[in-house]
Amino acid sequence: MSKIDRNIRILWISDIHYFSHYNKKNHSFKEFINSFVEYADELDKNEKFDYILITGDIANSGIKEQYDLFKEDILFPLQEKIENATLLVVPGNHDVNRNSDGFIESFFRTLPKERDTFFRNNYNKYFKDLFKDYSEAFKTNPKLPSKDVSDLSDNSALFGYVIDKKKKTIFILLNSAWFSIERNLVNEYISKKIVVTNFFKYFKNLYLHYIKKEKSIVEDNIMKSIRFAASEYGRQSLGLNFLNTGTLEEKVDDFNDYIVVTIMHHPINWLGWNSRIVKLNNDRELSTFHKIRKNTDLLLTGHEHIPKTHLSEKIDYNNLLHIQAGCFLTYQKEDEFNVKDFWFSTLSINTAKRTVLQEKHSYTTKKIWELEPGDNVPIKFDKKYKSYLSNNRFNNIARLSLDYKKVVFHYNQDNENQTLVIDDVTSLNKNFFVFNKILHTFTLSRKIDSIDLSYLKGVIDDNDIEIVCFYFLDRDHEFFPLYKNNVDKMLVLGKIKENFDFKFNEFRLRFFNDLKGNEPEMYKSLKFINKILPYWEIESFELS
Amino acid sequence: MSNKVYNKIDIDYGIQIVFSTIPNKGSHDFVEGIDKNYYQSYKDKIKSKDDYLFTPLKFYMLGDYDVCYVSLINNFNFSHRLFESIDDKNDTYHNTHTFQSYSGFALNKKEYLENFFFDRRKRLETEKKEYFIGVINLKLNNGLLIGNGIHFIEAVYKYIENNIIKEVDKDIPFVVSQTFSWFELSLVILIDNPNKLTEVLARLRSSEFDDLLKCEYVIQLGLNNIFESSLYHSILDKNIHHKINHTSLFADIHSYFGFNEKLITEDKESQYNIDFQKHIDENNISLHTVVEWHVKPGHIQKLEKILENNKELEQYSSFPDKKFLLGKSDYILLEKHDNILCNYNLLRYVYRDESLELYKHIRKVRSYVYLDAKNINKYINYNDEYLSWEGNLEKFAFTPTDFYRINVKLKALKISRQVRVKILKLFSNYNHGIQDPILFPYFVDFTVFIENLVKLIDTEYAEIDTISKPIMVLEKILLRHIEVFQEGYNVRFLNSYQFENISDFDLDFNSSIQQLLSSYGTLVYEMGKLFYESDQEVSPIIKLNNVDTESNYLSVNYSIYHLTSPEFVYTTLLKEFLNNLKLDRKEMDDVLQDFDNKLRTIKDKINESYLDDMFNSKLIKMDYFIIDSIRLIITFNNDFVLFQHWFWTYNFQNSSLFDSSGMFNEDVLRQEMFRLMLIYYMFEFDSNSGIKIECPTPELYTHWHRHHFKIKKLAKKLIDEIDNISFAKVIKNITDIYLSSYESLESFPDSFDVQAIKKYTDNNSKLYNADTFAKKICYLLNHIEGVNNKTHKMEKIIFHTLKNHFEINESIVTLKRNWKNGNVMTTHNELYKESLYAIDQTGGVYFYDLDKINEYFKLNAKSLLEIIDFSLKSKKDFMLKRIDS
Repeated sequence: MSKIDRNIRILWISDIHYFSHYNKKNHSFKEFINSFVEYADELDKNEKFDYILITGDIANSGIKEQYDLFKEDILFPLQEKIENATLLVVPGNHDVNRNSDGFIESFFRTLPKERDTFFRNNYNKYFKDLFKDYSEAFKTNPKLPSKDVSDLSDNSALFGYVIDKKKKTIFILLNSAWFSIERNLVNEYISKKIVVTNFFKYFKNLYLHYIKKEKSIVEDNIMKSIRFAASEYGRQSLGLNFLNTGTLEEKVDDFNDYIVVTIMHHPINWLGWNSRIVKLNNDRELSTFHKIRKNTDLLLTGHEHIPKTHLSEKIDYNNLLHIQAGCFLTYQKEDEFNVKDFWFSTLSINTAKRTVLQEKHSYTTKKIWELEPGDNVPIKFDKKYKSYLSNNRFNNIARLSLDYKKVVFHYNQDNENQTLVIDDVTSLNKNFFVFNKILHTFTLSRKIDSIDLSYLKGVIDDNDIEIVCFYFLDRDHEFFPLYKNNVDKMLVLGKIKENFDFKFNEFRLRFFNDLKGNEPEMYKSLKFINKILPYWEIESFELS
Repeated sequence: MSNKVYNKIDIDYGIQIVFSTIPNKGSHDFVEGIDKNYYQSYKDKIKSKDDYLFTPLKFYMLGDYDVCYVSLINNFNFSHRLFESIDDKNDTYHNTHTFQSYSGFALNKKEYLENFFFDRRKRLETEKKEYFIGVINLKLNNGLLIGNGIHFIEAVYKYIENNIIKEVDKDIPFVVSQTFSWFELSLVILIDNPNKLTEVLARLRSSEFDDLLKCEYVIQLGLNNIFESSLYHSILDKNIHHKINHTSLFADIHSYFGFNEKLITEDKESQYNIDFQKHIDENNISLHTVVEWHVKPGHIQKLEKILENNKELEQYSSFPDKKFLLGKSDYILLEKHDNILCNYNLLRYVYRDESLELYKHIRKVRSYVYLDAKNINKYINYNDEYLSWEGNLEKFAFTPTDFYRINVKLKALKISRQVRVKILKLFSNYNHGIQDPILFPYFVDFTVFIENLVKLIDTEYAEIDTISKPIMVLEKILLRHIEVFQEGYNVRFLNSYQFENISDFDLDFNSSIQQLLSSYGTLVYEMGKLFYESDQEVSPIIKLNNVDTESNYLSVNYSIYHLTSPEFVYTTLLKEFLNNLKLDRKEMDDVLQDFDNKLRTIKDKINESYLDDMFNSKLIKMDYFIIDSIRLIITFNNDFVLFQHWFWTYNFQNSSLFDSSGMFNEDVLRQEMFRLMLIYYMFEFDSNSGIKIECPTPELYTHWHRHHFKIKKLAKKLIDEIDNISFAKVIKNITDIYLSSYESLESFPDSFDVQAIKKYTDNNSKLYNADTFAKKICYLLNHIEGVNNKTHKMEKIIFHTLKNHFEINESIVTLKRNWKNGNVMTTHNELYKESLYAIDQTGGVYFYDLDKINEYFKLNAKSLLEIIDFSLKSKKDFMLKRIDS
């Protein structure tokens, strides 16, 4: 059953590690994949998903062949079933292309310089190459968020943010794997190249760094430095320089009442020191990530293959809720597909109540997907949020020219769950519309008194009207600027509603008081309704 | 079912009688104003074109009141209108005036009544010389009435008609009404000679039970058991049963005498007045009176001067023989003769223009009438038998030892002196009421209240050595008792024979309504007993409060208008006494607490801000849910359509649920929709019945549309999440006790299709014993006759009344008012023609035309008489139980 509050439903899978040799002829594996799609379809039918979220490690080795298979086996069938869901995706360390290891040697040669510096200097040369197959796989997916509502940066599905005005949520997508020298890759590199080579030739900078020591010690230190520099845990970098964080900050500030969800593959403890530890920079400001972190209500990460029993956590004085995904699928040898602790999540974010419910679904030994039993009680976001209407938004709404016909169309489609086309709405004039025996009327509260009752009765008679529906926009009310004060917007809306309701009711009674002769009998079943459209509703119409 | 409650009487009309003083200032305007603005304006309002309804016969009276109005009515709400002359044009100020009124069912035949009231004022000139009125209020002997009910009243009515009136003068026009006041019957006679009143009174005063028993019509009425059924028969020893026959039919007789208005208002030279004076002279008609003048201190000589200067008064008054009363500053002026023209002239003088001068010196003038009692002996069969039975009432009363004991306990409990004395006085007042041989039936429903109060004090006292509690808590409980008692006690004594001179000052209603208060009290008590499993009895006191009907274990509140519109009482009756279940079953508290706790968890699980808002705004009440479920099963017999109809009907006439803009309050609507939808989903009417919940009236649609979709969803979710098993357990537990009283019913008759009642039991058998429930339904739908349980019979009446009203109305139509001024928009009247009535949000119902008022009046008359009858019969068993123990 659908929800009353605005609810964001997310189907969230993570850590799939899709492998080229998965044999679809393997019956068990085939069952696993098929039943997942069917199960997801059932869940969607029960309550529609708005988003499909994948938090990295999609392919096992970040190569095209694996992505193609993943899309063919899982993503496309899933998107076919859950056709309206938007795709949100971030890469994981496994999405680094194993064949693009040319950067490793160059990087090692720059040591002991920090790897941030290395990649900033070599972005075009190496970085794109690292995720090229990943980006190729997703950047053309038709279900990626539309550009109107998102900034997905370089269009490579690596960074970005999405502002969902309908659902009042901002998603921030970060690439925590943008410099993942995945452990196996390093080991492979070291075992293949370093052992048989001349340390001095390859690691001149490091060699010179340790030159005063004995050779064996120097070589030991170089190995340690390499391993440390290449270490994944506590060393991951976010590469936020490539995200337009200035615009993001502005948006987060404007839409301060929205839920902010930050998504990345690695949990915070895998990030480098600067990202883990909150400190002010020289300008006594927080660094970009910490600003994002401070504004985030919900952090979603993958990577750690946590078991179902693992609980979500609140960090940063309970301001930030961190939920981790489990592992959807792990690498297994051909013809040996075994069910392990494979699970995925569905999230329901209630934007009115500011809560999130995580439900865990696992693949059981009975070869069916099941909702993990438990209390399944939503968790409330504790982060304080501002409720006032920013100047940018205020001006935008005041300026916004509304297509009333569109409003009628969308409002009725949303609330009555009808499937209609906009041409079914007949315009009588710029304020009067007829649809489905309902007269939809846009008016200002101060002008409602001047509505000509004879004209109205004529319209009602001519169109067999059963219900007269008035629409009032809060932006037309004298109290509208009160939203700019730092008070709960619902309090302001309450005052506006009280006033509109009163005016509307006065009109309704005037209509009935004015009836003469056989008119009371004629209009005895006529119903009146009034709808007050707050600015946050108007904003979502703007998008349609 | 027969439409009759009486055997031979059809009720078509009611009668209202008002006694009023006339203010000194603007007396003419006042009397005319009452005619015009109290009676005629109402008649205009309901578009009554006839010449008998709300067209009062008016008389100028001797005694405490100056004027008497007798009118035929067909709507008891009329009785409670403000008795003032309210006029937007006349600004005359009326100083102090008092009044008393009462109303009840007219027992005479329809045609007779219409003829009696039909334009009598005009016809008097040409027809009979009905110069005088006698009004006689008769309190029936409680020992005979209790146990017998209204058939006894019917028999007495027949007795008055055949054995009194016809014996005195068969041509005396008379009407009898069965009143809601402290006396059951009121007799109005129109006579040409005061002696006829004397004669009627003498016969009434000497009437014995035996006189009634000897009458043929008692047998014709099928009242063979009238002797055996009486309270006397049950409480008195066999060896004195013969004395019962010689008890008086009446416990109290109260009479008034007055002059036809034409004698006072018309010129002395008018034909009517000339005829009258001639009639008096020729027949030598006399009336012995003493006139008491309330003279302003120091004004006696000025008064005498005025009277001496008036030839007509002077010839009758004997000024030198003036006296004054002990303890008062008033003077008694003796008459020279017992000539009735003396009173005639005095009344004319007082109420005509000259009186202005008189009132400079007096405050009031009052005549005492002395009727000749010499002849009364001839009607009395002298014997030495005397029936003393009042000792039985002492068993209900507090003894001096009881007072002492309670006083000691209250002291030990450290209750403040102020509260303690009030409690003792409460017991003392109860003693006065319950031991009054005339009024005790109206205080019988205080007995359980008093017993429970004593138990409360005993319990608290017993704990004094083991536990320490804040005194404030107990004092608050005691004060609640005091408050409930005080109001209940006052309205039961109001206007009774002990307070006949005071005005109708109660703010809730005009006229005394002891019969109604007490009868509804019995109904609540007896119905409540069906639900209690322990010995703990609860008998909440009926109170009047039209703001809401929130009741507790001490009192049940009704709007005065509901007392004569019993369908509204029936709708909520169960709710009122189910509030007390927590006293009887302690586990109910635990269950409700548990539900409340679970509700919080469920609310978090459902996770909707709308539900949170309802929860935080306290719009979700789980005890309503339980009570509504039981009401659905018991009052409405699982008929959701009927339940829904009355649910909204009741709400729509409750003004406190509306906003000043005229709209039903949005939050209240949310609460009520949620209540209704919970029941709808709990009982699975969504899936099996095809019944839908739809907006009951277009006026409500604005808010309905805004919320119903959300509330529907949430109610369904809540029902999905709620612990159905423990809920069903609670409902079953309550209904089982109730339904067990139906188990003894015979099984279904052969001809009866049991499948036909399947719809009532199929879905919900987990909530009650299906077989017994089916029997109940079968009984209520008229397929099992011969049920002896009085309360079940009453239930049957309740069910059929509700069903009947619903079937006549079909849908709910609300009255359209102009909310700028609150006036009814008559332009919309056509909308109501299909229904019996429109629901008026300022309380009660509104009628489209007079025929519908009549139809409604008759429907409700039957119901009210059933309640009164039920109460009179049930009181016997109640009293016997106490007396025996």
